[in-house]
Amino acid sequence: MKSIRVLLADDEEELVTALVERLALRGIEADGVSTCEAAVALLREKRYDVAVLDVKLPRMSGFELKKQMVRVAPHMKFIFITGHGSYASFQEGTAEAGRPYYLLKPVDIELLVAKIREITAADGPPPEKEGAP
Amino acid sequence: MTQSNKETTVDGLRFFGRMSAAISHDLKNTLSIMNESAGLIEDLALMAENKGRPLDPQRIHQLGATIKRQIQRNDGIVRNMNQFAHSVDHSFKEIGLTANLQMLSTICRRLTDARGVAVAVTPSDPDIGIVTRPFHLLHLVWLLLAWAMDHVDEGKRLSLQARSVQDHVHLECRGIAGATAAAAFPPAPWTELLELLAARVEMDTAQQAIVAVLPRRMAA
Repeated sequence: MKSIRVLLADDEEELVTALVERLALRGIEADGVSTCEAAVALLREKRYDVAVLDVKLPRMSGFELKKQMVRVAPHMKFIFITGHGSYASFQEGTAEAGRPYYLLKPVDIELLVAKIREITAADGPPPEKEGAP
Repeated sequence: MTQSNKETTVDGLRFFGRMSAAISHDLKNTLSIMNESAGLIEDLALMAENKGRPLDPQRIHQLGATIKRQIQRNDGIVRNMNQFAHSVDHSFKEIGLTANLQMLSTICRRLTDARGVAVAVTPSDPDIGIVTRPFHLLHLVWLLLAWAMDHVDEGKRLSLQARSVQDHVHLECRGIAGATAAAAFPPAPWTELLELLAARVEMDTAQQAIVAVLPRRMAA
C-alpha cells in the first residue's frame, strides 16, 4: 500500500499542528511548518508527495513558495488553502493549482483528505482509508 | 467634484477595502484554527468511542486553551474592526494618536508581514490627543507605511511615533534607508489628502525618517 507524505505550510502554527494530527488520524503522514524557509529546508531532507500551502505567507506568497519547491522536488503536487476570497486571488490560485485544488478556509478535513488522495492517485492507486475516526 | 477630489475619494475607498480585506483574512484564520481544534477534539472522542484509543486529558485541555485563545484574538480583531469602521463617523473628531497608530498597525500586520517588515509603535504617555479628520489621518498613516516599506532600511524594521511640537504633532515613521532620495518625497498623489488634513510631510534624512506635520487642533 502506497503511503502519502504531505508537507503543510501555514504561518498559523496552531492550525498546522491540528491539521497534521488530524491527517495522521486519517492515515496520512504529514509534517507542518510555519515559514517558507522551513518548508524548503525540510523538502531538501525528506521526500513528500503533496504540499498543502497557505496562499498568504510572510515574506513570500504560497505561489512563489511553490516555484521554489518545484525546483527541489519537481514530482510534487500542490494544494492551496486560503482565507482570501478575492476574484484575483481565486484566478491566480486556480491557475497555479487547478480549480479542484484551491480550497477556502476553514477547510473541511474530509474534503482536504479527498483532494490529497485524488491528486496523488495519478501516481498510483489511492491508499485505503486507515484508522479514520 | 474635481478629478483630484474623485481620485482621493476612490483612493480612500480602496484603503478602506484593503484594510477590511486584511481584517477578514485574520478572522478566517482564527475561525480555521478553532475549526481544526474543535474537529480534532471530535476526532479524538470518536477514536476513543469507536477504536478504544485512550483519551489524553492533557491534549483536550490544550485544544480547549487554543480555542479560548483564538476567541480572545477574534475579539481583538473585531474591536479594531469596529474602531476602524467608526473612523468615518465624523468629519472632525478628537482622537488618541497612539491608540489609532496601534490599531492601524495591528490591522495591517498581515500586509506588512507579507513584505517581511516589522512595524512597532512607540507609545506616547499620555496619549496625544489630536482634533483631525480621523479616517483621512489613518489613510495618511497607511500611505506613510506603504511608502516606507518600499524604502525600508536593511533591518526591515519601521517604527511609528508621535510627539507634540508646539501647536503641531509630528508623526514620524523611522527606519528609512539612508540613501533614499528626498527629491522623490512626497509622491504627488498625496497632495489632496495632505490638504484635507492641513498637513505636510517631510523627510528627515538624519533620523532616517519621514515625518507628517499635523495641526494639533484642526479647524472645522
